[in-house]
Amino acid sequence: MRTVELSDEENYAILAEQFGEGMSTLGASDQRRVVKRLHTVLDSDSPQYYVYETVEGCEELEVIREGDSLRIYCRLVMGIPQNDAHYNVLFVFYVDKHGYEPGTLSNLDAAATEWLEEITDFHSVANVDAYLEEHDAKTAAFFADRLDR
Amino acid sequence: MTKFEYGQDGKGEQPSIPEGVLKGIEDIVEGRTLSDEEFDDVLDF
Repeated sequence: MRTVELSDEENYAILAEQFGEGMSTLGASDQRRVVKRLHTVLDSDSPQYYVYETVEGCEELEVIREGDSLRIYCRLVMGIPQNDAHYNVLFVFYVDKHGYEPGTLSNLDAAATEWLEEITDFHSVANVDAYLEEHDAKTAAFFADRLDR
Repeated sequence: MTKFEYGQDGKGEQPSIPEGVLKGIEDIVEGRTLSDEEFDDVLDF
């Protein structure tokens, strides 16, 4: 009997160095929650389900919520074709605790919006596998390994 | 999907976000991504 794949899509996450900065400000418990959330998203056949909201004024910037307090700022690009596969890539920019002090926020200016569009435009990427490797892309299994330790 | 409630100015100008988000976007543009080892280094559990 032939095995039928439920989904031919593969999910990856690319983590910005600044995401690591955000993680380093969190306690172990919150870090674990973030890792678990990223695992859940990447392990899903419908990763878009976990996008909680977009930033008003910039639809390209998305937020994944973890509990009441943690927010993961990201951009999910779906269905990037390569040979017979389709890739979903979650770009993860930053994480921190929700609830901000006035004066600690910055503006998402036009340049940053253009960067977001540039990042998520895969038309110029000839080899997605090479791109993912070059950008240290991680799978659900990567995060599962950290949770199992 | 809901909208992120942002902004301290209330003028509907550029979205206000944590500064780290901007730096993270810039990181990706310039190819500064976390390797497996760098990610493990920030974990406390």
